[in-house]
Amino acid sequence: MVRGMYTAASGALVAQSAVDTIANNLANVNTAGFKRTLLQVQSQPERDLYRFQTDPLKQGSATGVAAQQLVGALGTGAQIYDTPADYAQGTIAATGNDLDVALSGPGFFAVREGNGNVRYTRDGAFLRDQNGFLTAQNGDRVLGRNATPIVLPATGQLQIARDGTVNVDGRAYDKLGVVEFANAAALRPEGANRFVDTGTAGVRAATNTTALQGSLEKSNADVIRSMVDLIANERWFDANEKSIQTQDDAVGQAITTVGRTSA
Amino acid sequence: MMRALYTAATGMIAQQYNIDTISNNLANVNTTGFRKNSAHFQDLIYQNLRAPGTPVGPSVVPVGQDVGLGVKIGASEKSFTQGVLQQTSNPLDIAIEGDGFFQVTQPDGTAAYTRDGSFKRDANGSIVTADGYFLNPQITIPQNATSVQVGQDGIVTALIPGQQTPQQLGQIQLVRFTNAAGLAPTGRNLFIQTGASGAPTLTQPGLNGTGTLQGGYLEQSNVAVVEEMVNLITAQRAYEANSKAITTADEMLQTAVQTKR
Repeated sequence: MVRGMYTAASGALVAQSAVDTIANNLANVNTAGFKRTLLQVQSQPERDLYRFQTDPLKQGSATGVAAQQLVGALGTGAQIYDTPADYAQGTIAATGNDLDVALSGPGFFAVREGNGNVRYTRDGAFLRDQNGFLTAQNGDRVLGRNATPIVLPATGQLQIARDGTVNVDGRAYDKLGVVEFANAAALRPEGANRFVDTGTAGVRAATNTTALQGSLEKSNADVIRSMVDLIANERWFDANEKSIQTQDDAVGQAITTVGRTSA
Repeated sequence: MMRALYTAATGMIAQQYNIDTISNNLANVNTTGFRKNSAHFQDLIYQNLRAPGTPVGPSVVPVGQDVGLGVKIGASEKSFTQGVLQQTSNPLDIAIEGDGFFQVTQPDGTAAYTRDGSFKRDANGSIVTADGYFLNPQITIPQNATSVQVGQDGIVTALIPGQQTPQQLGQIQLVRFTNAAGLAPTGRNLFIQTGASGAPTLTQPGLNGTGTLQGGYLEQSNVAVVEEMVNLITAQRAYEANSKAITTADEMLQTAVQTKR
């Protein structure tokens, strides 16, 4: 059928994915430590068009040999290239809760899930569980020095220094295991505010990150930008639909008028 | 159908819960010993559209594609920051300055914990909460006693007619939890122990990091109205923004349907 219809449809599908992504960013506009997802779009591979014709030199022979003549390249539409997280710093808001820690800089907290897997998060709304472990909201244990979970003593004033040192009653007790990545693009979001290393992120101890006790990092999803993106993508979608309609009209016209035999 | 519809719906549900929580905080802005709640959110799982390394023709995809599916309510966390102490003229109004809870006995005999120190005397002189629940350990004030005092260490004294020095009637004990945020609120300013809170540790006020007591004071709610107002505005705007995502998805679907005439 008409190639252009599929090309326009590919654009409409990408616009739809873009709106899906924006909706997720908006849904998480109040999620602590959330990093918004971006959508990168690229053109689908172009295809070379050839005109097939009978070779004039071979005319007269029993079977004319088809000769290919390059007409030019034809674009075939758009596709999603990547959906990277935007690790831009979120706003830091004071909460006054001693167990809330915000990170300023590129670092992540390391947490250990119940099954032993290590995950990374920017959400520093921590709790102290019934056994004294410092945990994330879903119970994952926050890792400290030597990647071992931090256990807080039953009593004592908790102070977390800017370098992540955990002080209890003014004495150094442990240190938050804040990490940075050589290639944060290799992290994948896993839900529950956690990221997982897909293997090539290059984890190392943090050097450029400061910890701020009594604060939380807000989501970096931007409502105004998302609204503008929503409008732009909706119009992009509409434009592709119009393109489909136009081609449909042309085909319809061809069917109804070209085939007409008498006026 | 479009994921955006359902994704944005999770956002609206989450913000609705957020506003419910804020409303409860505001409703309890004058409730003695009330501890404010804050809603905590987490992103939902991400749907993997294409994994990194997927072969496409002769090459492989260098990066993957994920689309997030929205937000869920992670936790509703109680904040145990200190509330403002307000002076009253009643010696049995007791505020805790610092960490800890009063332990009271519910009518069914189980223990409950509270920061609300507006205690009363019942018909027998026992110290009870406003709902009539006994303070544990139970302390009884004789009918004819005067000038009841509660010390910082919780020792309750009173003058008995005919005696020169105040008589010691008992000592109020406080309990602490490893994870006070894990206590379950049951209403009436009471909390009960859960598996997440850990077991209660009974201590004297002022020892082992427990707070001290102030007789003649009440601890107000720790809700800060301005903070809640700001939260209310952000929650409402987030709700609106999510509704716009639904509208957009709806309009796109309408456009798609109208393509076929």
